[in-house]
Amino acid sequence: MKLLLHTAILFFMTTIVLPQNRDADINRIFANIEEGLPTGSIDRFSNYFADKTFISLFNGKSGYFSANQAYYVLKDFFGIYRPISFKIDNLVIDTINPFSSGTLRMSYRGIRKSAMVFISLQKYGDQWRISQITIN
Amino acid sequence: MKGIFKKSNLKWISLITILVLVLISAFAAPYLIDKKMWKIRLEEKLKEAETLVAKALDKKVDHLISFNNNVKNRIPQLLRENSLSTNYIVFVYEEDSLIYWNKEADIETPVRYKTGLPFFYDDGLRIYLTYIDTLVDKKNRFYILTSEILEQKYNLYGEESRISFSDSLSVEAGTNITIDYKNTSTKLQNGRYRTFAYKSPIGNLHCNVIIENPTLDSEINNLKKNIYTIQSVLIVLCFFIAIYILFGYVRNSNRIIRFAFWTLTIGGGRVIIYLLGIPSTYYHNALTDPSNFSSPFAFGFVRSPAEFLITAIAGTILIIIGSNYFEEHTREKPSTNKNLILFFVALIIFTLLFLLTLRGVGASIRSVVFDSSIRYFREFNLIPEPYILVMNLNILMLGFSAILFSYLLLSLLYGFFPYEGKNNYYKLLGGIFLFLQIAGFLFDYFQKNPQGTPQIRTTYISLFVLVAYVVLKNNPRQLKRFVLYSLLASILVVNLLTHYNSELEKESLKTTSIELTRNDENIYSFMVMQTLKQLNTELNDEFSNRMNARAFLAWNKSLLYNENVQSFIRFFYVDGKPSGSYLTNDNIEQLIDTRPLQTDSVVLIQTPNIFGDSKIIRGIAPVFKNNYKTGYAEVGVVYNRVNLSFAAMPKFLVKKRSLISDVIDPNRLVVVYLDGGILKSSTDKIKSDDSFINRLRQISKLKNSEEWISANIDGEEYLFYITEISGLVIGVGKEEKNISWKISDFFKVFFIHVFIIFMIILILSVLNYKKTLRLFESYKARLIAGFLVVSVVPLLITSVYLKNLIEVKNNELIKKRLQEYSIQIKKYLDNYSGRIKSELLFGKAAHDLSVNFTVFKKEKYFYSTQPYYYKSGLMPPLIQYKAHSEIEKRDKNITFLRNFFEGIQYNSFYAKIVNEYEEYILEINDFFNDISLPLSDIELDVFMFGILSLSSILLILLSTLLANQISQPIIKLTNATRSLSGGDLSIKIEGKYTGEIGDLTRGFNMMVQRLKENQEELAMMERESAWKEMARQVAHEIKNPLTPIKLSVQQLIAAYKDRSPKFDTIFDKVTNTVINQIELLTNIASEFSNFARMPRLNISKIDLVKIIDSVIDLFQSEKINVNFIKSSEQIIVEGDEQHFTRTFVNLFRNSVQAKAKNIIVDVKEFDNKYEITVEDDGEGIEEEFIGKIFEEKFTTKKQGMGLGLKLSRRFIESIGGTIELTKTSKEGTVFKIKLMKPKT
Repeated sequence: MKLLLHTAILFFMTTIVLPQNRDADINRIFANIEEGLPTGSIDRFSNYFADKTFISLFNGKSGYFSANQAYYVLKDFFGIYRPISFKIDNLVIDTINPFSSGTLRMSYRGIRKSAMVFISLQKYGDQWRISQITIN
Repeated sequence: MKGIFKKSNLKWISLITILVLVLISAFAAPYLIDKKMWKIRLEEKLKEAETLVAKALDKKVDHLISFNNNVKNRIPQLLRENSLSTNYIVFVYEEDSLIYWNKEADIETPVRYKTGLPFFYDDGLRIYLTYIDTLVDKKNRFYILTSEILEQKYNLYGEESRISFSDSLSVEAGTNITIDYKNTSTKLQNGRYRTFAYKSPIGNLHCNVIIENPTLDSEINNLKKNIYTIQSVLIVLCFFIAIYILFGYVRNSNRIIRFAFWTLTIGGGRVIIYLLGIPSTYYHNALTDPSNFSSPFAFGFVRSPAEFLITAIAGTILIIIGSNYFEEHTREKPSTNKNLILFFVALIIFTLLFLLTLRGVGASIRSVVFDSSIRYFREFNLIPEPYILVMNLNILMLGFSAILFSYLLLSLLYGFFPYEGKNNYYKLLGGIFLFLQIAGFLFDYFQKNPQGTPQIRTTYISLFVLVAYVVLKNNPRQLKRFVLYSLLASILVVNLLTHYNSELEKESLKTTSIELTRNDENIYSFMVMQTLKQLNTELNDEFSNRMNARAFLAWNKSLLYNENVQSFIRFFYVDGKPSGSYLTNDNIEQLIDTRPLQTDSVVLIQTPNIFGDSKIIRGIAPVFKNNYKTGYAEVGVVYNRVNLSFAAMPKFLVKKRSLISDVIDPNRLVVVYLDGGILKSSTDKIKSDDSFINRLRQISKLKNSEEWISANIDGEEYLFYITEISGLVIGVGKEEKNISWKISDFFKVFFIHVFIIFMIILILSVLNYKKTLRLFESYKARLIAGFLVVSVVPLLITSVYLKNLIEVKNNELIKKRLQEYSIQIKKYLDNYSGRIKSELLFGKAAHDLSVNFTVFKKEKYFYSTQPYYYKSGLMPPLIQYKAHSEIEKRDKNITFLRNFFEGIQYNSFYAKIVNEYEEYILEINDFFNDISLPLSDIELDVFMFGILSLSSILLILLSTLLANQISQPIIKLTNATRSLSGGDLSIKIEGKYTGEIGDLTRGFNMMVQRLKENQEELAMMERESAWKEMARQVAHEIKNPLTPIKLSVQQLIAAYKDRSPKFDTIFDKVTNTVINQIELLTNIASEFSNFARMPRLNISKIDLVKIIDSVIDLFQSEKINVNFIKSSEQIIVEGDEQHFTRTFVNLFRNSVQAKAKNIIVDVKEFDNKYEITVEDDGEGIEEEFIGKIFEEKFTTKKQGMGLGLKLSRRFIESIGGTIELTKTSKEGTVFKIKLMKPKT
């Protein structure tokens, strides 16, 4: 009977609770990005940068950056291209590497611009990390 | 009121004024813009923008026309010399035939356009401003077309590198300006946009200019930014004034307060610079780019190479100041600790701090490697890009500071050592060496993540102790210490750099394996749908014009380009016929249908390809115009579980992502994976290696595991990271570096450090140019310079020649290979000539021979194995003019030229070919074909740095050694001669020299000996003669009063014997006479005494530094090292120059005779006096003699007169100073001289 109960709990954990935790983790990261990007607050999501994050920006900066570099590369970028608003339009989380895309509106020396943002996550060990940020 | 503004209060007034200004400016921004007047201001700004655009366009037209006129006058010369250097595009037509062009561009023949009128021309990817004029001579009509690119629609290397006239105008106007060159847009006149029609004053050029209304927010932001800049300047000014005021208070304080002041100044200065965002906020270049380096250390104090530089300079200066203060302190107040336990406590603290410092350097260098995109070992330039040079300087300063700090700790430890004397210090160093090695081992053993490697640690400790020994033994001057510490710092940091670079390379294998499998089907599907969505919004006008270019543009703007996946975009008319396409790779064509799925809604299809190893994911959407279906747009990608598309993409389209790893040279990278048990690889080398495949298969059985394996492939050692990701076993390997490769890596950075050290010395030399000039007067310096020139320069010339030679040979090889390809193609074409239509034949040749090439018919593009780059217009469909001219006009069969595309240089080989009686020009290049070279750049670097750099260092060492050997006796002889001329006859040149130098030194020593003997003999004779003369004089002078005394006494005796009644009178008279004569004798004695006194002093204001320097010079050749420490470059005292010189010569000579090896002369300045300490490490003075050293005729030397110190004291005291013996022991002696400062 005990065995049956334990098996049931384990089944419940693996089939219902764990995927929910997974989704919650992923959603939290994307929510932080969605909150941080409109104000250029990298701190909101910089904790989730992978050891090497691929960043591609429309100003030509592109490559794999360490978490420290990624933080300052984006900080500098948003220092020049000041974000006005950002909203996620697409969000796909039920896949191996969840991703989202949205439109970022910015101001550059008084010139308004918009760009497509693509963000993807990847699992490193038991942690979800941002593996790519493309602002195109 | 007047009193407040007196001079002494000015600094306070300026400080307060600036502070008030800072406060005012903080609140000023919102009040400086009158919001009510904004509408009027907005109108003004729009007008300004309109004027700006109109003027800029007018200017462009004006310049273009005037350039065209200029060209028109030079046509014959142009055709003859082909020497036009301009940014404009120039085409010259003779009737309809293109006869000259300076750049390859996709511009159609001028017959379609009116001449004499400027116009905009759109080739699909670029918009040109063009002007055509005609020139008619007796026979022909020429058309001269000049053109300038105004807009480049695609973007390969970033928005900022894209040519865009409208973007540059937008930046200048501070608002978005769009130019509709086709005049197709409707006039936007609303709250957000303003449109005006531009018409050029010359010709009929017109376009619509759409200006976005500037916003009030952006206006306020701009103003705030300006105010912030002003505030920054004010705060910096404020800081400097505050420091100046503070300096007035602390300048005469003790060392701790002065050090605290400098810490506050330098540290505070650094904080202010950081808070003001200098330089990152104001300058955006590679130096401030965080991708080149950024660390979160200290909240962003090292967030870019420039900020790291500022922090490193501040830290280094602080450590140098601290170190100097500490050195002064220990000299003045040496520690007198005799407690062994206290020493051991100090030793443990020293060891801990030493190892923590080493760990700190290790962690910093790790960050320098991992948090940077700079690859220090990929390429070499002695003078690299400024940001790379700065990073090299930064790490050198980091190492230097750490080493200086460690030596400061070591000096502290000496202070706690209970035993004195050099021999004991040497023993202490030996003990420290062993202790550090053991403690270092334990320190790393118990750490989770030790920094560096055991080899680096042991090597560093060994070199550190060795340098400490050299410093202790020779007590070198500051500059020599700087060089020693800097070289040690460089060796440490470069070793750490190479270590962490190899760690990074290993790490990148892991990243690469994840990266290669990152994109799954869902992401690919998303990218396809996203691109379709983007296309749908753009394809709302014409559907038929230049659709190949539109396909390329759509691809370039999409995620497909960013991800560099093998992909395609195609357009079809409504009947299914193709209207335009772009494919990243020609092979894709074989994998996809030629006709689209005719659908009324967006459809996503996934189909496996015929080989089954990949999948085509494509989306198709109908395109509507005014609710009427005009065709279809199709977007697709080729999906592989392992994305190896980087190997198939042309180099110029490869973004960093598809290089997979920017850490390792792609040529060193190998990717393998097992797909259904079958091995697939990015290289052919592995396919034949059965043992490797078997090993991989064994690993594949270990699910969810990762392994590192080494494998020998084609004679090269590779390191593989093997892992299993979602059921796929994938391995990423890199070619391992051999020892010569590692040596060459080391020297690549070490050389730059040596260059930096050399530059610092050069700057110091220029600043002290007088000393430098003196240095080069020396025989030794000239010899070293001569040897270096003779040995290193030919080596450098040889290496440069060799490098050039190899480059030339490589170029020749490329030429040869390309020529061989062309011969192969020609032979192939000859075989089939006339049997197959040209286009089909070229395709067949490309397929069968696996060679990429392009064929031109006359000057125009005809066929290419990479057609999509030509069809889209990305690559101009025009042959290079020079190639065309050589082959067509000069009837050459072949020619070899250098080409450029988007800044990338490549080599092209052109050859004339014939098929079906038609002549074509074949172009084969290394842009689309990989040519392997026998000696790659890496191998060349290994050779250059591994062997030549080692030889250079050996030559430099050998040159210095030889120069030293040759110059040493000459220098000794020169110094000895100077000493001799200064009156020092005890000088002797030591050392066993042979040959001419030996004869010379022996001759000199003999001469000095003879001189000494002669002088002694002469002195003895002079003394004898003087004594004789003196005796004669004394006798003579004494005789005179003695006679009257004698006569008087005789008279007195006679009177006494005669019992003379006048005895009393005679007695009085005689005694008076005797007393008078005795008085006379006393006077004579005083006169003699006065005569024997020292000569009169010649008192004047003299520079003590000069005197001590001259005495040091006299002792240059002696085996003694003199370290002269002075508080300033000029120390003025009142005294007799000769006597001062004699005093110091006496003290130095005594030190030499007490077998001292080092003398430290330290001059300290106090409020009203100077204290000069002369300290040696000789045998000291025996205790019984200590009280007698200043006595006359006291000496312990066989030939001494015993007058030196007596005379020195007499002289010093005569000018109001003191000289005393403050310390003497077997470890050395210290004399202290105190002199009053002259009254001003």
